[in-house]
Amino acid sequence: MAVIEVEQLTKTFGDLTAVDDVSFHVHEGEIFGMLGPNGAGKTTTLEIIEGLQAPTSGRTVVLGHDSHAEPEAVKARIGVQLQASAYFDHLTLAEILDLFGSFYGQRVDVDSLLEIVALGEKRNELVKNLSGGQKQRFSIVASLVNDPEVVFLDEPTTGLDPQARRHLWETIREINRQGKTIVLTTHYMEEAQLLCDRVAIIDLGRIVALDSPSRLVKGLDSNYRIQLTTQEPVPVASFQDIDGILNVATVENHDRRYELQARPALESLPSLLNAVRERGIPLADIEVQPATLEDVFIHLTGKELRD
Amino acid sequence: MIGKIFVAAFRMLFRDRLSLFWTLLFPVMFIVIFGLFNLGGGPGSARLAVIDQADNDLSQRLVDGLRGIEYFNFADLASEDAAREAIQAGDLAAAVVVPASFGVGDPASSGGRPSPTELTVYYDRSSPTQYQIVQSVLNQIVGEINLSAMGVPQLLTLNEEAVQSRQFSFIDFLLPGIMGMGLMFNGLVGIAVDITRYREQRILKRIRATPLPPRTFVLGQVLAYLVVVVLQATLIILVAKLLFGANVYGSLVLLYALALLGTLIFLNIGFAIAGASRTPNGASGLANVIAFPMMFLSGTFFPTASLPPTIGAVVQYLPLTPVMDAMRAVSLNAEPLAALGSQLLLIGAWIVVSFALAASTFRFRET
Repeated sequence: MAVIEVEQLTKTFGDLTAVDDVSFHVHEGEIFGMLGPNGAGKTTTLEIIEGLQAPTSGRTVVLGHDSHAEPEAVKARIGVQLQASAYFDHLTLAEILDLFGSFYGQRVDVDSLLEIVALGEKRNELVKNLSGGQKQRFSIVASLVNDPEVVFLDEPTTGLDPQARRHLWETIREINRQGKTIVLTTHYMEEAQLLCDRVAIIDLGRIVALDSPSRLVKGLDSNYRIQLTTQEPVPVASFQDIDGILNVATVENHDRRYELQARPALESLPSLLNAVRERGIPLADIEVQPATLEDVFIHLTGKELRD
Repeated sequence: MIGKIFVAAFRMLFRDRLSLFWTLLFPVMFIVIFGLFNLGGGPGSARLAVIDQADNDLSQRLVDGLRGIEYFNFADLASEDAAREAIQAGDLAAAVVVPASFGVGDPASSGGRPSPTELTVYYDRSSPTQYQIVQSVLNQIVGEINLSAMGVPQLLTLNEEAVQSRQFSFIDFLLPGIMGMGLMFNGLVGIAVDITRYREQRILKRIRATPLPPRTFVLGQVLAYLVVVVLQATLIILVAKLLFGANVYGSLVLLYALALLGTLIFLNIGFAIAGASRTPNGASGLANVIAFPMMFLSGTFFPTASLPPTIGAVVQYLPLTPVMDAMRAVSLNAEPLAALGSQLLLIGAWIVVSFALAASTFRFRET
């Protein structure tokens, strides 16, 4: 069942088209990711769904309510974590949750909320006394005060170190296990791949692909990434006309490393190794890795996705 | 809901040192500084001890006579020795010792009249002025007691009636001025900085993502600020009264009501400033640029009547001026509500104008 329906959504700011005719559905109980570089239109799309911005055209329906026509009905049943949002400097965690809880008809007990994100001991602390990871966990739990059915997380792990990021993923999974549908945006490939049930890849306001991470990767022409390192530089042409090898390129900033795209990748390896031996290429190392969402993104947009 | 917002806003005001400074310390600081300038003008006082060893009707008359003199503060000391030590330590200006024989009759010699006794007065030689006052007062009281004890009718009495032309001191004048200044800064700077900070931290947007109507949040803030103004006014009055003996001659209720009306104007202007500023620093700057000239011009420290007429003509229409005028009229001249027509008209006009300004400038959502 679709808890969110986005139909032909467009949002323009003057000459800029931030969201360009986007349509997708989010299913009940899934973790849905919106992956794309900064400025791709992820946050704008999210805020229109949340009823914070008006669409230029098209519509968004959340739990059966149009988010523009009935924003109050939508807001009452969703939880929102804004990107880079802070909370009151001079209130404690418990006081903030209590205050925000009072804005809703239904609410969850403050202490049981803090337990979800392991911040029970910090209930009487100010937000400024929390670490970056704790702050982020707090801002997530602050979106759960009304026991929402759908939770929106805008770049929940941006700026966190890898350990804190993993901790937060576990928190998000736990919230999802409690039956809440989660929609999150990210520009981390790994995050989308490990956390999300389905991912919409967004670039320049458009959805360029939407599927589960594994199917997105499997759909690539080359679903393995083969890197060869030689003892001395050789012409790229040395790797041409090998069975199954589709494309060869030198790796940036390396004069002896080459990236090959192969299909079917694993079956192509014997012929690649044969050719290397026959052509006398001085091989130093060979690495074979499954392709990632990053490869999907590069394949679809022709550009790399970096922090 | 609004209760929680009010409590939260109130808590935050008291936990934020900067806002505490501006709201409470800043006006009190002015009272103290100007109050200290004003000291030394009065006649002062002297500490006096009476050791009444006789404890009869006549000695009581003497003690009552002394207690009736406002100039004296009385120390409770039991013995002569204790009094002497206190004088040596500089804690006491003088001590009067009434011997046990004071006023006790000697039936054999004088037919019921008390026999003559001596009063002993210890005094601090290092403060002769205080002793002179003690001495002249004692002489007068002793003289009266002597005459009446001998049954001589008093031929001449002095009917002393000080004509008080309600002689208020500078601190009396300053008190409503500081209240006006305090409420202006509280409303103007406080709300403008708070709201811009909430917007910068995306707290306003976060609130918009909940079903809470924005006006409820605004109302909660306004209520908190109004209560803070009541506290602020009370603190100013208490400090001025207890430390410097300032007086409020008119109705306190009316004074507080005027303070609240004035606060409404400055909260509105504060919201307008928040609407026009991007950052808390910008809001604070703009608010202070508006508040500081008004503080000096609208009569916090000196009457607007002493301004040059051309400037005065403009100043009378500034929002703080009618607030300050009305508060001063109540506090100093005990004017009733009915006498404040022209000021109330201006205050009312400013509430309307400032609200329109706030409504057209301030947006809860980011632009």
